[in-house]
Amino acid sequence: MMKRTRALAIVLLALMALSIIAGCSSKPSGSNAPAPAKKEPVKLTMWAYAPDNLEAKKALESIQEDFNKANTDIQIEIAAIPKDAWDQKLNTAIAGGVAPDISYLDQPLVPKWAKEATLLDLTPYADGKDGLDRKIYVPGALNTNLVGGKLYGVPLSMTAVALFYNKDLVPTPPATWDEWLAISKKVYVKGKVSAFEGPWGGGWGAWLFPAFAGTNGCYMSSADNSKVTFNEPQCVETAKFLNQIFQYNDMDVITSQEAFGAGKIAMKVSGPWDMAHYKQDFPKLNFGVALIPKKTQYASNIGGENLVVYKSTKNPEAAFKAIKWLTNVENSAKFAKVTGNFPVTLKAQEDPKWSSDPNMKVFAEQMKYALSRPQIDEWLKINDELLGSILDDMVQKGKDPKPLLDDAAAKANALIKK
Amino acid sequence: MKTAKPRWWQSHLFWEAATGYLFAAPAIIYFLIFQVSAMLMSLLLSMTKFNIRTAPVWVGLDNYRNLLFDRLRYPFFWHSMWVSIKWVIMEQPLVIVIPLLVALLLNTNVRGQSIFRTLYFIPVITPGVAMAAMWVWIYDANFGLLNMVLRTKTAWLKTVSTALPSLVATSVWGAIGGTVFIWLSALKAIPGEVYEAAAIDGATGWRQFWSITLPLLRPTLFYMTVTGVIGSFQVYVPMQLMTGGDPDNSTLTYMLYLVRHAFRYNEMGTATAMSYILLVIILIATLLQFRYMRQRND
Repeated sequence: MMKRTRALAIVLLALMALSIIAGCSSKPSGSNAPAPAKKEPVKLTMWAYAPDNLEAKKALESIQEDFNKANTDIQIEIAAIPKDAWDQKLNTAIAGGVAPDISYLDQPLVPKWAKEATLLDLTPYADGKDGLDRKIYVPGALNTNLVGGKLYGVPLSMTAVALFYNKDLVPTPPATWDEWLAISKKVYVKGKVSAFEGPWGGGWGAWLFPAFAGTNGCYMSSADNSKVTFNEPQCVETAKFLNQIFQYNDMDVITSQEAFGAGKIAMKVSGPWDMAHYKQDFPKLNFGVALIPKKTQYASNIGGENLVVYKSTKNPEAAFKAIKWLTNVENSAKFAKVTGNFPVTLKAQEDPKWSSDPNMKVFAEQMKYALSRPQIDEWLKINDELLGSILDDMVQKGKDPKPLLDDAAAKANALIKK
Repeated sequence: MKTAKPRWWQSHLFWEAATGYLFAAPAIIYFLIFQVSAMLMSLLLSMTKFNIRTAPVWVGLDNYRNLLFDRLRYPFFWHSMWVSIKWVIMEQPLVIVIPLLVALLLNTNVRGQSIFRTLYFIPVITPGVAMAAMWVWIYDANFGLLNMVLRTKTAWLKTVSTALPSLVATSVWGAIGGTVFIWLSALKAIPGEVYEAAAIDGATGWRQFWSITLPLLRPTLFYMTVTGVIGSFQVYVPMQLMTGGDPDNSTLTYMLYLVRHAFRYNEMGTATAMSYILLVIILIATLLQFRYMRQRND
């Protein structure tokens, strides 16, 4: 008995030791492979948002194929990462030292990540031999890559919101605030048709709000980004106006899933990505796109992604060459298919695909009035927690916006100074 | 040539203990490397300013101080804590009582018992994402099944007063299956003779339930409350998938707020500090339960 127990213990110990040795020694078995006859191509990895429809997925795959055919010295592998898990996976990969060479990056993150030395400064490559012709890009999109005069990426896609309207309910879209209010009043049928799906609350609403405030000449921050200015009189007026429009909505209608697609909402603000969605999933929906109605001027918000190179890359030159190729005129048009947004090169925007579609044309026009986002490090928090959490009170409950906006602005400015 | 072996080498007890520890070793080693060391690391990280991507900067207890007292930086810290407490208070009694009732029904020899058991278990094996997608439609104001049945037009998930209770209902629905089986096995473990003896003494139905079933289920109840409350405080998935903390932050739970700081605002140091504060709160809740709920050995 005693012998058996002892034997068992020793066998167990041996097994464990073995498994540890096995675990540590699992070297890649490629060391025996024959030496390559010629120079191996440089391998690059790139992370992209996983496309949300089949067509876009195929487009992304074909970009990778085309790239690898056109560039024999560089082979790229594009990984499609679900957008929901994006921040988590990307940050973790960077922390773990396994960052991709190239990835998409949301525009507002570029300045912060550049300052924190996560991104590679591309200026020397862009200004060097075989450099970058910056003039091919839409200036507004290119500018989101500039931090302190240095270039930290190239634009990949850009977007802005415009007004979607249901042509069966609204034959002629409104051009001004007054018309907008009049149409809202006319189209509203209690419990059946609501006027407008807009910035009614939360972080999403706060992202939309600048588009409306902009049409009244109010901006979220001062030009030098040293303080927020969303409590100025025109913004207060905007909030009051949105509350007036809100009167022609029923909560149960505007919060319902796919209510615009089902013809229960007359107007909504959204981006170009929604056009494919409505065409595909609601073939009977007769909709159009118009500029966001103005009070004093046209305006919209801005969004989009850039392609950036990480400082940890082993092949900075190849990575630069790759992002240059991926955003040239031809490929920027292909990427627009992948992201559902706009091509970032001026030439690609002239392509009939964009210029012949009347709705796309409106988006191209709307993009010209897009306002840049405040370059404030704490902006995401200000957007979610300060602006996002008072929208409800201002536009739904109709509380006086002045004190609410003043309070939020004071807090935001204090936060910036901290 | 004989070398005298030490006493412990000869001892049967030593080898038995050694064998036992060796069997447990894989789990212990795993626990030390992947749990304990990770916990210690995160305790250190909670005292740093850390954006995940660049080296952490030591700030001492600043994160804790700011979370507890700086309402400018963390305006919803206490709010999110309160939402989580409300969640525990609403969800836990239901997650325990409803499955008990179901288990009592299943424990009577109804026909088709196995069919019922399967039905109750289906939500447990349904992926959370699919469940959330389905419930979002059930709660829809216009096309939703719930409003159709009730003949109302409530935007359940978009109204401040109903959003959190609606998520509680979803969560309870998903949890019933698993808990029913724990109750069922506890019920089966009660020996039949006890009931027979009670029947002879004239106790029937409710009397049997109150005097026999319930007291004998107490250890199970205690176990489920303790583990349930610990899990419930950390609720995150339903609000992440179904409301994102809206409307008006009424479903912004502590964990959701924590994850936002970790990955949206790039404040990993703050987020780990939040998790340690939560640890203390859960510890207090658990100690209170041990103090007031544990079966007394009499």
